[in-house]
This record gives sequence, structure tokens and C-alpha cells, in this order.
Amino acid sequence: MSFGSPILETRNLNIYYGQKKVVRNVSLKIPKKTVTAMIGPSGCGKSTILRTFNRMNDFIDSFRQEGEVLFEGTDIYRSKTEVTEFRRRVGMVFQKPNPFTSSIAKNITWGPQINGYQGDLDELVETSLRKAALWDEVKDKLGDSGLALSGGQQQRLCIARAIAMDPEVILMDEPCSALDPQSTLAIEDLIHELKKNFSIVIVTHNMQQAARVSEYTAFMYNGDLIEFDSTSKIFSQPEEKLTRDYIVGRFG
Amino acid sequence: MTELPSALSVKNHQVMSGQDLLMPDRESQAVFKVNAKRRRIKERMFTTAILSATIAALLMLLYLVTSITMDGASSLSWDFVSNFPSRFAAKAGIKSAIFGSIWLGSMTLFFAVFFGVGAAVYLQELAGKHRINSIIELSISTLAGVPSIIYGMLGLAVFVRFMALGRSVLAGALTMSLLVMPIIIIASREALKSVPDSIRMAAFALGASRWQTVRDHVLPAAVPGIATGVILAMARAMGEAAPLIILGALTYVAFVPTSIFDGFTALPIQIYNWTSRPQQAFHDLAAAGIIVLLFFLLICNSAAIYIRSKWGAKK
Repeated sequence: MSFGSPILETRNLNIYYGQKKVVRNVSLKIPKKTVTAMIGPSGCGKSTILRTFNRMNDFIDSFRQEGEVLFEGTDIYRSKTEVTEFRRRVGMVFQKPNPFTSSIAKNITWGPQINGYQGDLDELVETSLRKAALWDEVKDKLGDSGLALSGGQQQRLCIARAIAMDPEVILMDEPCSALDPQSTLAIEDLIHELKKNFSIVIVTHNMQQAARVSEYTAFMYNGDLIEFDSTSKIFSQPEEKLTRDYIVGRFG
Repeated sequence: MTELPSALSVKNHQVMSGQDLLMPDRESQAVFKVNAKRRRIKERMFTTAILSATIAALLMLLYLVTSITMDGASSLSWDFVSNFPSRFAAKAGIKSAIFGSIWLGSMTLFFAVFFGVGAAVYLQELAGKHRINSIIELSISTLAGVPSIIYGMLGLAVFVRFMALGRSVLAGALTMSLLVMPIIIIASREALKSVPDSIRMAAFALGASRWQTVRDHVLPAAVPGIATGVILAMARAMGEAAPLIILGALTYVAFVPTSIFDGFTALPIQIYNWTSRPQQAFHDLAAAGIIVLLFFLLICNSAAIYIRSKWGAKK
């Protein structure tokens, strides 16, 4: 397995919550402009790693990390660059849709505005919503609250909000786990579209989803990265017995 | 990906056999024993108890309002509202106290909201978990229980004498702000705490700073709760007499304040002054003054309900 220079990389990453070590010596490379899935049973550390990519773990008091997390070759935990600058370039979509209470348009424009966006905001609203496959559904009610939308629409609004920042990476933390099957399908189709322009890392509990949307899959278990390979290899001929057992549903 | 169908079938198989394990038979129902009649009686007792508590509170209020109205209604007139106080009960009015209370109230609102909400935002959103912050927290909760007369003494020492503001409406408002600030801080912190974290995370993930997040998302979401606390605090400030008496607010004022350095009186002081006179006519005036004060409190509370429903409807 080989690809060009990675967009994100962890080197010997250890993560602790207080005394508890939740991620053990993980070295992982995330390729550009494709979809990488992270799978594994609850508590295996996959979401924790995802949240180090945009330093959202900083808000957890007991969080501590060792090793390196590189974004385009820069260690984001040791760089002098403001953390907010990394967060602008590494967008995130959360497990539960969390649109702002303000209008749909404002949901899109707020992030770019506080980051000094110079372009045309109306245009940005339209292109972002189009890229998130939401424009046709909301174009007549851009002034309505983001919370007035259905769960699936809210999640696509959150994706549009992330896209509007023109990030290089979009992190998705179980983006469909709170959604019905139809909305899940819509998001998965969207992910297929988005990977042309963005590098996507998706954490999911749903193995079929990982198989459907991703090119690469990392399997984690109990804080260890067990196996990382192309999705087709992981799901057909995994090297490790543990991976195989998880894929066929013996545990997890 | 050839393994996928088999993965599904293994799962389905486990679920099917699991059902048998979970419900081997239905005999376990015998364990449940519900005394429906007793439960109903207890339910009714509980409902009656809390209903009578509500009614008792309402009856007390009703008694207060009727007795005040019976005493004061006859003295209530346009002259009463538009006249200055007088040593003749028939000519005495409450104009200076109304204006004094409005001056005092609006300035207290300004100071208390600015400092109170500011402190709440700092403590809840920006301050870390340092020891010093928990000491500050404890101090604030304690301050909320300090008798108002102590604040009057503090105001006299600090604002009137040390800062040489004199017995002005400014000194009064600053003292009242100190008095109600703990209430506003505590209520505002609760309101901020109830804003879901997912909103903050959404903002941070877009590269927002703490201040941008609080200003644009957390504070607006907390406005209904903060407003409720502020209005309660204002109602308290409007009704307090003790700190103002210590501070040396005037009891006989035949003018309306025109600047923040003017002397003043306020509704509760005027009422207190009238009730301590021996003549019955002044007691009736006091009752009329109480009606005016209640009217102001009613406006305060209506404002609170209005703000809450207006901001609530936005979501």
C-alpha cells in the first residue's frame, strides 16, 4: 500500500485521559483527496485520534498526548501557528447534527466571516449548500433557523458549514449514527462527491458504511492500531486475525 | 468484500438465538406486584399537598393585595402620583420617589448587568479550573446571602465617603448593583451552563476563538435565562429600603434628580417614611405607595416573560 505525501499523519501517538492510556503508539498516514475510514469497537480510540487532527481534545481537561500529529508536515501540537488556523483548514462534522440556532445562511457565513473571508457571502452560501446537496431543499428559506430542518438536512447543513471554510480535510465523527437510513444514504452519496475536493476521515461504527464509502480503512482495537490498508483488502483479506473477527461480526 | 454477506448472516443468527435467551418463559411476571389502589391514593395525596401549597401562597398574596388596596385605593389619584411629598397628608404625593426609583433602577440595571453578566461569562466560559476560581465562586454564593443592610454600610464607606460620591443616586445605584450582582451572576451562570456544549464545539471547530463563540452563539442562547435572573434582581433592588437608608438617601425630597450626582429618594424609603408617622392618613398614603411599587414590579415581571417568550420563539 502506498500513496503520495499524506495530508495528516500521526507518529508514535500516545494519548492519555488522566492516568488512562487510550491510544497506544499509533503511527498512521491519511492520504489526500480520498476517504479514510476508522473502524473498531466502542472505546477503541478512533474518535480520540480523529479529534487530535483538529485539536478538539484540547477542551478535555485530562487530555494529554505524546508523539507527533502532522498536518501537511507541520506538528500541530508544537507549531507556533494559532490552533484556530489549523481548525479552519481541518473541518469537522459531529455525531449529532449541531447547527447554530441562527438562520441557515448565517450558519454558513459565520465561520468564514470570523476568519476574515473577503469573498461574496451570498455566493458562498449557494455554492456551499450546492456542494452539500442541500441547496434545492432550502433555497427558499435561507432565513429560517437551522434547527427547523430535519435531522438529515441539519447534518448536511453542518457539512455545508464545514465546506464553506474551504478546508483541506473534513473529519467526520460518526456523521450518520443519529440519522435514518435514507438520510444516511444521502450523506454517503455526498461523501463520494466530496472526496474529489477534500481529504475525508470518517469514524464509523457501521462496517458496511466503511466498506461503501472509503478507499482506506484503519482498524483499531483497545487503543492500538491493528491494521491499516485499502478498504478492499481489509474487508476481503485482512492480515490480522483480530481484524477478520471484527469484520465478520464475532465481536464489537 | 466477499465476506460481507456472511458477516450479515452471522449477526442475524445471533440475534435470533438471543431472543430465546432473553425470554425463556413468561413466568417472571409473577414477581411484579402492584397495589394499584394504594398507588392511586398516594398519587392523590401528593397532588393535594402540592396544590394546597400553591393555594396557600396565592391566598397570602391575595390578602396582601386586598388589604393594601382597601387602605390605599382612596388616596390613589393623579395628584398623588404627580405631587411632591408634603407634611400635609392631603397634598402629599410620590413623584420624587417614582423618579428616584426609575433613576436608581435604570442605573442599577446598567451596572449590575455589565458587571454581573461579565463575571458570569468569565467564570463559566473563560476561567479554567484553577483553585482561585473556586474560591471566587464560593465568595459569590456567600455574598448572595449577606443581609442588605451590610451592603448599605459598604456603600456608605466606599462610594459615599471614600470615592466622595456623596449621597447621590450614583452611589445608591452602585450599592444596589453590588447587592444584586450575586443573584445575576448565579442566574447567568446557570443559563450559560444550560447551553449545550455541541454549540461551542461547532464554533471552535470552525476556528472560532472563545470570545467569538460566546459572543455570537452562547450568550444569545442564554439570554432568556439571564433576563429572568436580571429581572428578579431588579425587582429586589426596587423593593430594598434598608441599604438606601444606611446610605443616607433623603426622606423628604421636593425635586426630581437631574444628574447622577443629585440626591434622591425611592419608593420603599417614601413608604417607610410614611408608615413611621403617627397619623392614619399617612398610613393610607403608604398603602397607596405600595400599590405604585407593586405596579412597577408587575412591569418588571411582564418584561421578563416577554423577553423569554420572544427569544424562546426564535428557536
